[in-house]
Amino acid sequence: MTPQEALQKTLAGEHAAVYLYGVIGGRVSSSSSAELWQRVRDAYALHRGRRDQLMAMVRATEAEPVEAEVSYELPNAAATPAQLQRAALTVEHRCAAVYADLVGNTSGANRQWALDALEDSAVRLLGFGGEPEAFPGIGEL
Amino acid sequence: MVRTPIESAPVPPPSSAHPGTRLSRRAALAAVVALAGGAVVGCTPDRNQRRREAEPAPVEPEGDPDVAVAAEALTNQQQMLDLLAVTGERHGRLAGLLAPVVAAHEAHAALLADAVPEDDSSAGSTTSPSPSPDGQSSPGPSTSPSPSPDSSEDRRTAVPDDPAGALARVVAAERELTTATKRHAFRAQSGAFARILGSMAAGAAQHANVLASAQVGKEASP
Repeated sequence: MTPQEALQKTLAGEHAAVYLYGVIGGRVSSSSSAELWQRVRDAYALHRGRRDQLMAMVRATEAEPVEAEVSYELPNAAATPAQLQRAALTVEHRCAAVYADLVGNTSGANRQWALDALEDSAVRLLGFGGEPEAFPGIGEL
Repeated sequence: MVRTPIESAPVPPPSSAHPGTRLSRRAALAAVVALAGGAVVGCTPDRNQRRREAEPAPVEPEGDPDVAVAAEALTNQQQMLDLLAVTGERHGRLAGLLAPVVAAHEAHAALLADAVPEDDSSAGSTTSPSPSPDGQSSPGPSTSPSPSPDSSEDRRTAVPDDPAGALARVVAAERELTTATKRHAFRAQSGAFARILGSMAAGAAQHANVLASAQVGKEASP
């Protein structure tokens, strides 16, 4: 995978994360699940920012950024608070894996960006009920 | 561009992520150890990044620079394990909290130990701060605020008397290890190795976060 392909793959993942966090956030009650609502809202804002950064990073490689799909499938029914939290956790786990791949397929500033994103994602998923792992983002280890 | 709804997110689940570079633990190590062959290189940190990224990294004529990175990273992991051990000895009631942290660092150290040839294992023990690509010193555990006395007895007495203070010391060390390991990941020439180091750093960050939010007083009180 070339660095440009890795950036595009990460951007595609970021498009999905923005969409899914948007849907999840719309279903979380800000009153009865205030903490989860805030966490999802924070994640949505952060991933939107990352998406925009990635678009610029892709353009810097003289490529056209991949576009978002019209819709993305939720990881689960995303109806109850527990399901919504698990859905958010799944989204963040997927992002961590994509960031880890980006680390392995880039260098310099882009790798540093991926390292920071991977660290943030690994910590962020704890807020959605995730457990610490020896190798976050690397499923095969 | 016509876009159609899709049935699944384009982000693959972790289990199928990135099949082209999926690594078994042994393959990951082989990627590091066999780096001199240039099989998995191509991500050399380099200012002239765009031009260089498509090319294999230069093969080092003498020694594998990633083995040196692995040796330094291994030393950092061992120092962290030492700190966790003496902290657990001094404050037995922290042992349960620290157990998963120890397990994670043991996994990191085991992987790195396999990547460092026997002859090179001492290289990391001389850890002077590593130069980073921008010429600044790497804030590894050698810059830890905690002293590093020689004997195990001295190290035990260096652990703060109060559990909360001892835990705070571990949290600080985990955060420093996160930074140091990210710098190692940045330096690694092998993309596969960088990915593993980046993951280790993220794992340390997770543990720092969990330990920092632990309610030691409440949990440990009889």
